[in-house]
Amino acid sequence: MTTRQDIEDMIFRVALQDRSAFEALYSATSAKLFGIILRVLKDRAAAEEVLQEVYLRLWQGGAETFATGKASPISWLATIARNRSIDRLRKKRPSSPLEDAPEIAEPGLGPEGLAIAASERAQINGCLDELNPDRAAAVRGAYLDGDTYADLAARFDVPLNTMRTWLRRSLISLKDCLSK
Amino acid sequence: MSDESINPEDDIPRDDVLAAELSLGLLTGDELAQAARRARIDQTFAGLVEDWDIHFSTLTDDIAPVAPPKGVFKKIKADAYPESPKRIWQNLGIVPAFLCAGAAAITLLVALQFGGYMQPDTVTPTSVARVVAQDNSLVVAAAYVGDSGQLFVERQVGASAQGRSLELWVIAGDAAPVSLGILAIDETIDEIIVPENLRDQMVGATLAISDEPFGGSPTGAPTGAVLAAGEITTL
Repeated sequence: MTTRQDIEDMIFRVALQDRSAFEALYSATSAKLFGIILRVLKDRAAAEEVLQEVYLRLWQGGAETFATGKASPISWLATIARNRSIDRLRKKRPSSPLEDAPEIAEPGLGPEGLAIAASERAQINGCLDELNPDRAAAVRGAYLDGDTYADLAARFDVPLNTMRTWLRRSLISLKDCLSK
Repeated sequence: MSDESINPEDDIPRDDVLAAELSLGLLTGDELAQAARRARIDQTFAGLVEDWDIHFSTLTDDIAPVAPPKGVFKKIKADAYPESPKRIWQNLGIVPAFLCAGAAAITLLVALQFGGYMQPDTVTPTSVARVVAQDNSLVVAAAYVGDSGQLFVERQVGASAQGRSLELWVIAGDAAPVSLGILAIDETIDEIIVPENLRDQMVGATLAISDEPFGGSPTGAPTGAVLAAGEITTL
């Protein structure tokens, strides 16, 4: 069984260009990440390319940006995989004015946040269930299908600003619930 | 922009909502550019985004793992490791030279275009070959590094028939063909380590490619048609 600590160590060693660690990290995490990427892209060939890109970037400096902090290594990797998949999705959608999706800066966290991550597991599902089902679906759709405000407004057939208001309120409720 | 207000009595800061919007990918255009810029320069804001990233990432907990196809890690390594055949081949600068060499079905001496981009530690080939079918249906370029016995081959045109393999042979003078292995199906570039006893016979020898049963000739000698051949020429 590969533990969180094992994966953290692998990422740190990958940052030092340790090839056996790179291989071990790939074996331990690629199926999870491929599952996520496939879920977002629903296209095997594209998903393979994104998977390659994710690991290549990790090797070429990405792993150095991992900081032991709030994010568990799997959560960190899942976020990268999801974000790269969304990037890919948007590139195929000419309707989106977006050229490139955001690079989220790594804030260089101290060790104080270490203990938090485990308790967050699946908490969000419980909190989403407290929302109106439509809005929970919108949040999930944004995260896993790459829907923007404009996409969601079209899907739920409401004006853009209505969708913004809805979702912003939902995000506030979500935050409230998550902070409990 | 955002005219609809977030309740001012609410003690959730506006930034937190913006961070959630960025994390979810809801924003587009200017709003996105501004929020993304802030996440790069404002650590507090970046921390909020990360908090949301962590929360939202648990939405992936229920996604079942799917094993990626076997060859994927090999492709990653080919891009990642500087001594991979693919990277070396790219550094050799040989690809454009071969592609411009035209259709002449004879072995060409190719002037390698070593440019200023060559790295000092780059492998330097000592001889090259162009292994070409009469009708150009199969074109394989090869570069041989005498010092190390590495032979890099790139399948530029053509592929093995379904369920068959392409096998590479070296024929030195009147000697019988010696197999150098089969060409990969899913990769266009192979690195072959030439056995030591053959290394001093490589220059002037002929490289040939035959059509063989899947996995290569069962006899150790070519059994199928010789599809392409070309002489190894010193640079």
